Amino acid sequence: MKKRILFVDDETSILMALELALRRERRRWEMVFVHSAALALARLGEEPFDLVVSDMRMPVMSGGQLLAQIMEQFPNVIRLMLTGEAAKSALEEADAAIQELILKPCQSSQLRSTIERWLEPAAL
Amino acid sequence: MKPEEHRYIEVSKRTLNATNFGAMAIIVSILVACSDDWTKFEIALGFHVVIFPLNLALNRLLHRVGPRVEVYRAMVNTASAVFVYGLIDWPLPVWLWLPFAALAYAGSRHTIVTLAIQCGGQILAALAYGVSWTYPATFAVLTIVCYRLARSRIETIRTMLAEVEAQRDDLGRAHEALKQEGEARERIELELRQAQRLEAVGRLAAGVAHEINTPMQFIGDSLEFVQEGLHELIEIAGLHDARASDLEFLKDRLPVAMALATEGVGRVSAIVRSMKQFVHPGQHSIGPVDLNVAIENTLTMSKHEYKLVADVETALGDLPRVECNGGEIGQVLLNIIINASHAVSDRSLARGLITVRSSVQHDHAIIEISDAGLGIPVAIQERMFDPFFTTKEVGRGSGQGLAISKAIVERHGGRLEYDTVVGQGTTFRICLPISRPPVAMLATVSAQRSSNLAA
Repeated sequence: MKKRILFVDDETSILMALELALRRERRRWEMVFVHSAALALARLGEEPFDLVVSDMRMPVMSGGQLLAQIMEQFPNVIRLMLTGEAAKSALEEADAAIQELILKPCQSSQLRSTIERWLEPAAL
Repeated sequence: MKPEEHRYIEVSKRTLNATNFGAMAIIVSILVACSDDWTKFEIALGFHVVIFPLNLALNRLLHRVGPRVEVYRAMVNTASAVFVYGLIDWPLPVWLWLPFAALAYAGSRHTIVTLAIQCGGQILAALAYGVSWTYPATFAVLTIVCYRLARSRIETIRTMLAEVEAQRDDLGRAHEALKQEGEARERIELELRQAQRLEAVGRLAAGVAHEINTPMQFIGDSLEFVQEGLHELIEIAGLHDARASDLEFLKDRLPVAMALATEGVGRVSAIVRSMKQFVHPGQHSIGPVDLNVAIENTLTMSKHEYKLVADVETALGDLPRVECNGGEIGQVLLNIIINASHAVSDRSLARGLITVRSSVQHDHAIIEISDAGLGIPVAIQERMFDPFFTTKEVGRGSGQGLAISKAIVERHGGRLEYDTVVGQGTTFRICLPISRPPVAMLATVSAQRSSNLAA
């Protein structure tokens, strides 16, 4: 069965580019892209996901808050953060909820291998 | 010579006219006393016509040559006078010279010697001539009394002069201290402005880093896809296979990827360009500035500050170029926009609105920045332009933004105004004269410079 991954970022440009860059993986991963934390929580309520990749700075609800909520409501979902946030203080608040931090800009190969490592730990 | 002594000699010159008048009055009295005898009158007149102008001349010389001359003058005067007084039989008014001398010369340095020569000489000569002792004795007493009185008055004047002199020194020192304080304040204000600028730039740098990283992410992803896509495209084209759906997808998405990459590059350049314009040292001079461009630049720069809490709407009118310091006005805009976003974020979690308008009214360019924040409480309004006054927590602002903004706008001959309704929001209005800043502003600066040079 395909692994399901949810990408959350308020920048649709980021989502579109991610979709393109990870297109190669469409046969093994089912990828969903949403542009707000609220939409992400709604989708998580509707269908199961294995992993979430969220941005940090988003209006209304930040990525940190989103991951904290996911940790509470959907503890089995793996939580990664993809962010360009340079300030350490902002990240420390959400530290407990973030399982791994990936800094923007990152190559899609790096993102891909990080996701792989979390989804298929046995393969390593 | 102490300065107050010098001052005393200056002051005592002013009594010269009174002294001369006194001498004239005594001479006239002597002449009147001799008027019943023509010979005596002629002798007295002849003597005084010579001796009086001579004394006037010597008086003038005295201040230049020094007080020692006074002693010689007293000797010559007394010797010649007693000889003449003998010829005219010692009329009563000649004794007036004694108290007069005590009054007139009590202030000079060799007073006692001069007085002793003059009074002693005259009294001894009179007694030698066989004049009755009553007049010399009476006038000797009067002379001593006059001398004591004059002396004490002079001491009083000297003390007062010394006090005035001391006060003048104190005032001079106070003036000097005040001037130095003013210069120090000026320097501190300059440093504060610099520090505030650095603070703003530093705060933005973190935001800018984030802003740059975001487009870089999708540029990278898009380019990667384009690379892969091209690779596949070449394969497909080579195969002439029936994988039409893949071809369609590539046809559809390759342009999208390219557009994304291009947009990302554009955004990165815009951010870097804004940052450069913000910190560029070339902007520290006055020149024609397109305020609408300055507004756009500031909004790009500060996007990180407001984008999570507020939407920004702009209504920029046609503006002529305005003579101003672009860097400084940018700083003012930045301060007010950051304040506006803080005001909006204080209000609630929901997104607020910041509106930036520009227009021309008469000969002023007007920039209005409105926020839908909480407004400014009356208690704060009167203090909000004070340096270091802030309601923000540590790290969010140092309380210098509005103080400096007001100073900058006023230096440009403009006004920084605000309207605020508690609970509804605040509008800050920057009014800048379109033509050159008023000459007064430049004149003040150059006047300060020249006074500094003169000091």
